[in-house]
Amino acid sequence: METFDTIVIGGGPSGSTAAGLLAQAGQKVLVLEKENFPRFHIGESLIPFGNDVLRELDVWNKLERAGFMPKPGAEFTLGNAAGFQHFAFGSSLDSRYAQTFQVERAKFDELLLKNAAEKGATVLHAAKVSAIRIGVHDVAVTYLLAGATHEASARWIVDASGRNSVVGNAMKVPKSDLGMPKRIAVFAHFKNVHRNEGVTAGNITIVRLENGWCWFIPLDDEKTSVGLVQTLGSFKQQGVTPQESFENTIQNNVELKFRLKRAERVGEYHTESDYTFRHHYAAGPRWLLVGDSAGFIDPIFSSGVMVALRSSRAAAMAILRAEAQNRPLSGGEQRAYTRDVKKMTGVFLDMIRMFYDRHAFEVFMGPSPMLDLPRAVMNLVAGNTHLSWSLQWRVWVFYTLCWVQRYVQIAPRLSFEGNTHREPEIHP
Amino acid sequence: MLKVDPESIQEDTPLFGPSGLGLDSLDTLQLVVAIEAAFGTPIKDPEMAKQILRTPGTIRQWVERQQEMEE
Repeated sequence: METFDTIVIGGGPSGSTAAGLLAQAGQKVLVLEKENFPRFHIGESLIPFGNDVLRELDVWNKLERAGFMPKPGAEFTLGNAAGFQHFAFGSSLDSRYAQTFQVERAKFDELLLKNAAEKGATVLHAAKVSAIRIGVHDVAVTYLLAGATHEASARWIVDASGRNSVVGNAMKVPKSDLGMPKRIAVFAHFKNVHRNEGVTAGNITIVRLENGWCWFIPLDDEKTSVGLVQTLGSFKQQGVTPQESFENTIQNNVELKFRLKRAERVGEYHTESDYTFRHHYAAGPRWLLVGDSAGFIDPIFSSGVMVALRSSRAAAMAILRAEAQNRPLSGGEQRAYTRDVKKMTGVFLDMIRMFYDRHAFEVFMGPSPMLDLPRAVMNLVAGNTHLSWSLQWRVWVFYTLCWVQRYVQIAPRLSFEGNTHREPEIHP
Repeated sequence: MLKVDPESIQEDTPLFGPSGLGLDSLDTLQLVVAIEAAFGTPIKDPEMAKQILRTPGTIRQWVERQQEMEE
């Protein structure tokens, strides 16, 4: 049985971040990835507050060279093409956050994992974890590789297994659905999708529909990722396949039809159910949950990879601090890490609830030039989860306005009508 | 008539309100008529009109979509 300092389960962005930072600090790290890379994955848009971690990992320049689409901002519009809100990151954020990337995950995840290996981590592909034992002083993992069973032990285990949450489930950590309904996403890659002019061609576009939303993520010069998210309940009511639901929705919304008018699909449709959950705690004496494994939230604000990167960095730092004193994580450190991760997802949960609330969304889409509120909202959209006081009170004012809008109209009402060009239905 | 330097109007300049051009309801009506005459795209619903006539950018986006879809 080989012995390591840290075993990381999963080779996605959170796994390769934790592995890369720990290996960089001189640790002996094992990464067990169950798939063979490259592989398809959903979650193709970054937000700027993940940039720092990418720079620390020395992959920022590699991303630039690899030709990933620069993402200068995010824009929001409606299915009926009436209404538009644009966030250009460079307009009010520090130059470090003026731009980030759209990333085809097959390429991005492979680049990050290779980077971790270059920093000295041992990376095993197609290695499936079959058993975990977590003790007070050490951990052990049994995994299957090429038909044979292997074992490895370490002092630390980082669970970057995504929504499977291998360690979270093994430790029976309680979880909550955070009161969010179950949603379903249908998505595919297309070419010849309508693009914005100039630098804004790299923006993510979110199209809000009455009962859901669509994403448009330009991945490179040709390919655009397009997806539809709706509640599972509303999808089931339609009595059609996910693909039919996608195609019908496109036809029924001017903005979507316009963008996809000349589009050709490249590759298959994928369907994924989005079950929001968050573990009540995210660390024990010798283990930490990072990224989706700690909790998965609605992808509307592209927070997934950013939270993966930042939580993994926090986990790596916690391990290195404790390791320097040759001890496990104290109760206080475990709670501090949990608080940190919950704060990251919590900021987005507030945003997600705002997005799905019709009246709050009207404030988000409306003009609010007073009190420098747009700058605060920009920070939220860019993924700043540790707000300074001057931003924090503005965010509170923004949410207060969202609440007031239910009773008093302060931002223009939004209509989802006037959408289609279908002939009026004839009732015999 | 409004006294505004056309050069100062940007894609995201609000047409209404104190921080924008400060158009009034009569201007709105004239705009709706002018847009229909110029682009052949009628705005039928007053609520929709408010939404579409928020900035020059929102007008451009909506008109562009309507024209493209009529083809």
